[in-house]
Amino acid sequence: MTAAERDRLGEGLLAEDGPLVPGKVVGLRASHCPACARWEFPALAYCPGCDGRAEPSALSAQATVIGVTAVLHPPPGALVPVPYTVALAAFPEGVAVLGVVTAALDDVPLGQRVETVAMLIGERLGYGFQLAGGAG
Amino acid sequence: MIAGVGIHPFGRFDLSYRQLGAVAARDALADAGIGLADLDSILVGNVGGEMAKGQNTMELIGRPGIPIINVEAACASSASTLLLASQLINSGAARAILCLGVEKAPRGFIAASGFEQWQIESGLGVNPVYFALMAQELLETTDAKAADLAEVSVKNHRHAVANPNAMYRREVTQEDVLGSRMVCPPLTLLMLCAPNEGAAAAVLVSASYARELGISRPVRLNSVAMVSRTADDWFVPAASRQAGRRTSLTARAAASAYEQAGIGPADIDVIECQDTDAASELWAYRDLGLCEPGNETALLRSGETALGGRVPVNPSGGLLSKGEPLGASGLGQVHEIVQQLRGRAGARQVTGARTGICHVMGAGHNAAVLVASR
Repeated sequence: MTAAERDRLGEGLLAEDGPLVPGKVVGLRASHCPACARWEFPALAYCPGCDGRAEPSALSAQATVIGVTAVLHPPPGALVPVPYTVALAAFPEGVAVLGVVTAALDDVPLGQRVETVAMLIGERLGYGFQLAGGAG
Repeated sequence: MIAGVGIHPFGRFDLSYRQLGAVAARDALADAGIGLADLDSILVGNVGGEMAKGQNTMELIGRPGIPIINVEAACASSASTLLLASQLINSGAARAILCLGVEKAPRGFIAASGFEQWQIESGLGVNPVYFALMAQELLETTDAKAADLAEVSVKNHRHAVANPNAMYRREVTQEDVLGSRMVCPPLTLLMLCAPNEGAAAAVLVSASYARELGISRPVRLNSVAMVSRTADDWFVPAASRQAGRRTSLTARAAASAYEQAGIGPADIDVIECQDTDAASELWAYRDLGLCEPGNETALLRSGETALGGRVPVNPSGGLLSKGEPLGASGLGQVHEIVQQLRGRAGARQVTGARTGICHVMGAGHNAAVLVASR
């Protein structure tokens, strides 16, 4: 199996429908409410803010870390080897998303810019964050 | 009214969850001085058990032939039974209901907290990550330090020494807490509660039925308030939140409980709150209205929330010391508050306690606050 043919993790997490390789910068598939401008990830059909009909859209690739910790002991079912860093990253659209960062905790200060990338989770492609401007 | 309470200690036991539940149920009925035949229904809170868990548990006690209804809302399961029971009794639909919470949780991380499979495989289905991020926010936005987080554990473990129902009854120092294994920075092992086993129960009765049964000194259940998620709350297992705003489930539940009971935070003498981790207790100080935002650590450092202080929080030792049997933890809090209000809490008695509250939060975005008084 080539990398480009790997299955996606979850349903509709990544906005790109075309071939993907791990490490490629991508946008997360989210939803946007045209009435109240609220974004949600993962995408929702209806806006929890105003109950209006939300539309599928994609988040910007870059985000800012507003919270960060690490997982040091293997959680049940996780396919990411410990230790790993988890950040809450705020997108310019106004939603903050949890994701694994491909960097050590000490290298991810609050305010750090990150970008969303396709990440190999087990045998499938999910998402993660890498330090913006770096290979991660 | 709360006619009686019962408990099976929290910890690890070579007993089935059914046996744990039967002990607490029997204990509560004995405490109330009534029998199964006096009940209208039985509500059972549990997260991880089997089909017809309440029915199978009660089978060990008797066959009353009345409705047995199982209720689940993560760590707010016990509170859900109390909400339903109080509403049924207040409406006149029932006179006496046994509420039972029981759990036999596996060791370690809670594996199934409502996360989607992609979250679990991506390494994001980890409850302590959420608690760690909330702890970090407290450290970043107030004067709280890691030592303050440690002090919450120190205080609660000191309280638990006098609680025979707690799992851990050994005093710890700040050095012990800060030096214990790091789980998710800034939270160390001794800043996090351990999922475990146990059961607790309460018999709720109407005021008239309490008089009819000749129950002496019942504790009044003034209010039970429960909330679920609204647009801007954030808790396990949500993958995202709004970046610029976050509302509090606990604050909404507390406001409702206080309003229904006609009290305010200044009227509270004793509190059992959801100290899932050390920072959660400090957030609860704010959200329960014990202090202004930013003054959480000042309140902790003042000693007012320790036994001997103005409003002791978690005199039982809290979940940090008792451990957390998910479906039973809320009724465990009620057991403690009832003993406090009766003046029967022994060495951990809060002098003159007349009004107490219990607070829980559950995965899937639940929170409940109840007010009890004598």
